[in-house]
Amino acid sequence: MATLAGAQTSSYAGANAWRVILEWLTTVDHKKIGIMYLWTAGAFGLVGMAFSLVMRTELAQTGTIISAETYNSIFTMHGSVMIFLFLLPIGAAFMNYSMPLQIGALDMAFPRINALSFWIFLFGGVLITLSFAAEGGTASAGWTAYPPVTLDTGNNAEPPGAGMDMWLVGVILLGQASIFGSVNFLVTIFKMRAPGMTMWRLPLFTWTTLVTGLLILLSTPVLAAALVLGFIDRNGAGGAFFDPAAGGQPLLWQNLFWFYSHPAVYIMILPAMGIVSDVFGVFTRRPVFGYRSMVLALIAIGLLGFIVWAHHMFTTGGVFLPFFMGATFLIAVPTGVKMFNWIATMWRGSNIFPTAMLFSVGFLMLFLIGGITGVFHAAVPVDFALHDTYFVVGHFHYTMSIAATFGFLAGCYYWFPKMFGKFMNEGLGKLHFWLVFIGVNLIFFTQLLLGLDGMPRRINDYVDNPGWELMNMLTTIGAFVSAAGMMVFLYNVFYSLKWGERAGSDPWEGTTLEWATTSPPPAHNFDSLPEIRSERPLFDLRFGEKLQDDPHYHVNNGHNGNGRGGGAKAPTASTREEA
Amino acid sequence: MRAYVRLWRTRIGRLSLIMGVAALALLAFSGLANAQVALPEAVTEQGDSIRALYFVVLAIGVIVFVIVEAMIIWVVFRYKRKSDDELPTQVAHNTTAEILWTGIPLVIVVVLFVVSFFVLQDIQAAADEDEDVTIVDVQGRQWAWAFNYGVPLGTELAEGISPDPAETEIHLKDPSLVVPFMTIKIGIEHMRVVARTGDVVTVDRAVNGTVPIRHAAGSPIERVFNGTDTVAEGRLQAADNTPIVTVPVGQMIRFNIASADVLHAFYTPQFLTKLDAVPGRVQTLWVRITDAGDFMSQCAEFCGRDHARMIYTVRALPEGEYNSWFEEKAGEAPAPIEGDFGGEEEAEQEEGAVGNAANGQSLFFEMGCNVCHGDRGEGLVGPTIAMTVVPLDRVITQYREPLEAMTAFPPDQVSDEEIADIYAWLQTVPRPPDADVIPSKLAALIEAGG
Repeated sequence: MATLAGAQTSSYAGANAWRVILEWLTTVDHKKIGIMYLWTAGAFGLVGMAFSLVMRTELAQTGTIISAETYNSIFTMHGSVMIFLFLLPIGAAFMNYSMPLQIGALDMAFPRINALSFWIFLFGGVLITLSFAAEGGTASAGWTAYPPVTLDTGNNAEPPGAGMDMWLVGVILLGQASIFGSVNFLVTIFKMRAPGMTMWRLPLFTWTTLVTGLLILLSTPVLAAALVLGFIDRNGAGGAFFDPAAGGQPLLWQNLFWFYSHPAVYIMILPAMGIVSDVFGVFTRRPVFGYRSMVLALIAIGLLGFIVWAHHMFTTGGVFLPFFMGATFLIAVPTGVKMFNWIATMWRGSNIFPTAMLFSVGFLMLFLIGGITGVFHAAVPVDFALHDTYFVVGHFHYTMSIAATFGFLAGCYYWFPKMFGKFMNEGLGKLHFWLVFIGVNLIFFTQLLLGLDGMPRRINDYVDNPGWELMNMLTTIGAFVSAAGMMVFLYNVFYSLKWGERAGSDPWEGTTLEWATTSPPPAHNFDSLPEIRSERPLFDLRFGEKLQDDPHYHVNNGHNGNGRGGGAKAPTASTREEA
Repeated sequence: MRAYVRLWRTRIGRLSLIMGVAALALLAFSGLANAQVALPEAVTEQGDSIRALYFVVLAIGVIVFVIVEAMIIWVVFRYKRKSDDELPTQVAHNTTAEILWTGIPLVIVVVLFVVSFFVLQDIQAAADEDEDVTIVDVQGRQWAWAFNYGVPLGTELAEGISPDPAETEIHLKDPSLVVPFMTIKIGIEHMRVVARTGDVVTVDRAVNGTVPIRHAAGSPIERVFNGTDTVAEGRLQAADNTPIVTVPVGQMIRFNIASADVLHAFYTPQFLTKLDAVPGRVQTLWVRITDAGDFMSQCAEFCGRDHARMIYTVRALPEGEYNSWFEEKAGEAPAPIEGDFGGEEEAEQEEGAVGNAANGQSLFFEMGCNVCHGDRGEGLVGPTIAMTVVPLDRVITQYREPLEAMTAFPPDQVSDEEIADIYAWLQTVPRPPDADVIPSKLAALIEAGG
């Protein structure tokens, strides 16, 4: 307080800086919270990427550079940071920032809880990161933390130290932040929509937010329970939940963990799917094809996501294989529907390819490989061969890691003008895209081949089977190419914040409501809202009149409320209300 | 920078050029790397089925990939905005197309499910009842493997056991096939052998009813390996210095997979399968090997620091070679100990150890062995070790790399000679005739002998 007072008297500029900092520390504005999520998750993402470079350097050749303990700690932290501190919160960043704007709301339903959830997330994240300073180092049993290697059972040669407890507590906090966030998203979507914004007119990104919120709400408590049980087991409170020596069951952890962590895969990928859906809708000037089947596919993926958790456990000998195999195969169907709808949106479209669109197309290509390699794992006998090899590493990076990241990068390029009133540099953006696109394929396609050849994951050194060393070197080169791409991106962010071309309120000819306000939007979001008669009210404003004679162009007349066949034509330009 | 930006803003051709170069580079790299685009050649019947299924999935996957990828590339290059005021068709759905692209994938996955289901049934099938089976008990531990070679399923090793837990004992037909600490299976229960006298084995857990033993592990533990054995000249090796599990070609092999501590996974890439070793469970993996050879294998479930070093080799020998190898191994099993449990002399005779029993006694108390094993080795928290029938070299291994909960004692704390001294003293200490700990018949035998 004294420092603050001092700053205030010393200079006006200093006082102003303090006021800005205080404003951000105390903000309950969903946009500011969203941007804080974005910066924090982005920073954690860079940390996670740095860990991956350490791993790839170690694995580039046989022999070791760092100790096995360090490697185990690094790969554990890579997974934990990327999943819990990058992919999950960066989804939350966009959901926070864009969803209330897309439905024409003033803010989230519970702005203070929204702030609380950010600060809990940050605290949990810092706690996990600080475990490097703990005695015995960080958690080092993988982000999945399968007991009993996490426990001091008496048989475990090197039980992890306090870092493991910090990890458990940190993840409990992150889970709590997620649960708060999900309740907030759900209530906001159900109760805060602008007049005319019916459920069937929600932008697809908002639909993904809704389904993601449901997944978080229903699955995260199960993870929290597992983490608490693990904490009790570790701290000698007589739990014996997972310790086989004390009569516990190690597979119980895996069941509980994956009951959350499989839906978590969708919690990471669905928002990315929502972003690319919106991006396709804008840069093709077409309605997203099969809007309703997109929504239904989304819900189907969400539901199926709850009955496939044990496909992570096919080789444990402890699950009923045919059921989980069948359910897992079924997920290919709604995912295929989404893929075909996206392609059909570009089909006969008037397509342009700014960086946001490039990343969305990149998302399709990567997600396609991820989806197809998933079918290999769904076929249980093939999974017996491929489980816990680099094939699974390649598979899940193609889907939930890299495809999701491409979706979020598309979101960055797409919403950056809205957030900061400036465009990101397109030239740098395209360089970024190509470096990362080539880099990640070099990494993960090579890893698929390594996995087929039987290289297990999570090893810090490997026997030089024919080709392994060369393929590992290629993977490492790919990692550094991708990292160079991300450095270009980082430079682009700061370059564009300072020198970026000014963007108006609607630089992309957007279709959804966030483009109906200024960039950046005022604290109360909207001065006025246009009429909402379809899932793309701004498109109706801009092109409705021109399209009046197009037999395929429809907006809802507000009474039949459900559909594409509604008779009313678009509002005219006179109803257009734009700053 | 500006020139570069201009360059990148031009022409579709440039994009396709870059993609073409990238694809070529990937292909060239893959070629250089001698990369496998298929799983390794299977050396088991089960692996052959898995590999066949893999090719079914691969074929469907490649077809879907090519079609969908071509669609993506086509719409990207074909439909570009030509003028700023161009407005494309607003067609927003097409029921026929949507039914097709829901229905066709559904049919594909149903077919895949059915095929996978039957392959799964096939590869998980156990041996026929009248078939000869080789049994290998596999135990993963941090960070090593122990393999206990089995005798064919159905070999009757013993006549039966008594229904009274206190009386539990097994009359062995061929005692040389049984070693202390091994697990034998009676019916569906596993029992652990704690001691052996002549033709009688005592077990630490009783099973009601008299059941002929249908299966028991055979020759001694081949070797317990340390993870460090797999490193030579600073590099991981998959050659002769890794643990080897020797098995016959052609016979059904049943791997009973267990773990002493944390999760591990038994993974031989050329079997195209793996199974986790879960503490507290014994899991069964059936394979019939078709090709002789050495197959590099390694732990596939993260298990702590030296996970990467848990390498082992599966050595498949033609049946004749296997049989002679097995007989040789069985011959190395410790000879059955007759009724006389005579002290030092016996131990020296058995192990060639020259132990100083007096020194051993003082060491026993100095090192605090008595805390767990009791002042006379009668067993408290730890097992009874008075007059142990475990051979000395195995006892030394137990000090260095303990099974169960015992503390490890490295050579700088207690030398091999000192262990021999303790061993010698233990052989002089009579087992207490306590019926709670030792079944009465064994106790009677001890009394008779000692």
